[in-house]
Amino acid sequence: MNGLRDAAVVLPAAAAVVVTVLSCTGLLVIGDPLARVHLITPLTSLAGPLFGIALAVSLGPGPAAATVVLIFGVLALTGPAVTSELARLQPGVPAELAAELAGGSAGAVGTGGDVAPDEVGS
Amino acid sequence: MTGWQLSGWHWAATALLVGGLLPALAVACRGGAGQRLLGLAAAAPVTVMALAALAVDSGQSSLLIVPLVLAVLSFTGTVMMARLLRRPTGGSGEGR
Repeated sequence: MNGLRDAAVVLPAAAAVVVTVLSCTGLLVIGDPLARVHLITPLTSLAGPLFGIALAVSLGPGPAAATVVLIFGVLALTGPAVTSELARLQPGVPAELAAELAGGSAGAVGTGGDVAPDEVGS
Repeated sequence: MTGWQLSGWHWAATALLVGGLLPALAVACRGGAGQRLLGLAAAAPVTVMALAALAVDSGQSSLLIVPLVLAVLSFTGTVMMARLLRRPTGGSGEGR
C-alpha cells in the first residue's frame, strides 16, 4: 500500500517536471511567436495539476492538501485566459483569430471593455 | 513523511528551477514586449510549482500561502500587462 502511494506521488511529480522542462526548453528552441504561445498551455493545464496531485497525495487529507488543490486549481482555471491574452499580443495573428480570441478572452476574464459587441462570441 | 519525500521534493524543485525557470527567464530577457511577457508568463507556473514543493518539503504548510498568492497575482499581472501593451497600437506588441 505504501509502495502504491509512493508511485502515486513519484509518477505525477516526475511527469510534471518532464513536461515543464520540455515546454520551457521549447520556448527557447521554437522561433514562431504563435507556436510559442501554445507551450504555455502544458504548463498550466497539465504540469500544474499533475504536480498538485502528487503534492496532495503526499500530504494526505487535510487543510494543506486543500490549499494545494486550491493553488493548482487557480493555475489551471486562469491558464486559458492568460494564453488567449498573450496570443493577442503576438505579431502575425490573423484578424479572424484575433476576433475569436477577443471573444474568448472577454468571456473568460469577465471584462472585455475593449471588445466590440459584434465580435463577442464570433 | 519519509526521507525520500524530503529529498524528492527538494530535487523536484531544483529540476523545476534549473530546467524550467532558467529557460523561461532567458525568453523573458530578449525579443519584443510580447515575447518577454510570454517568458514571464511561463516562469510564473514554474515558480508556483517550485515554491509549493519547497513549502511541502519544509513541513510548514503555512508556507503554501506564498505560491497561492503568486498564482493569483501572476494571473492578474500578466493579463493587465498584456492589455496595457496592446492598447497603444491596438495590435501586436512587437518592437517595444
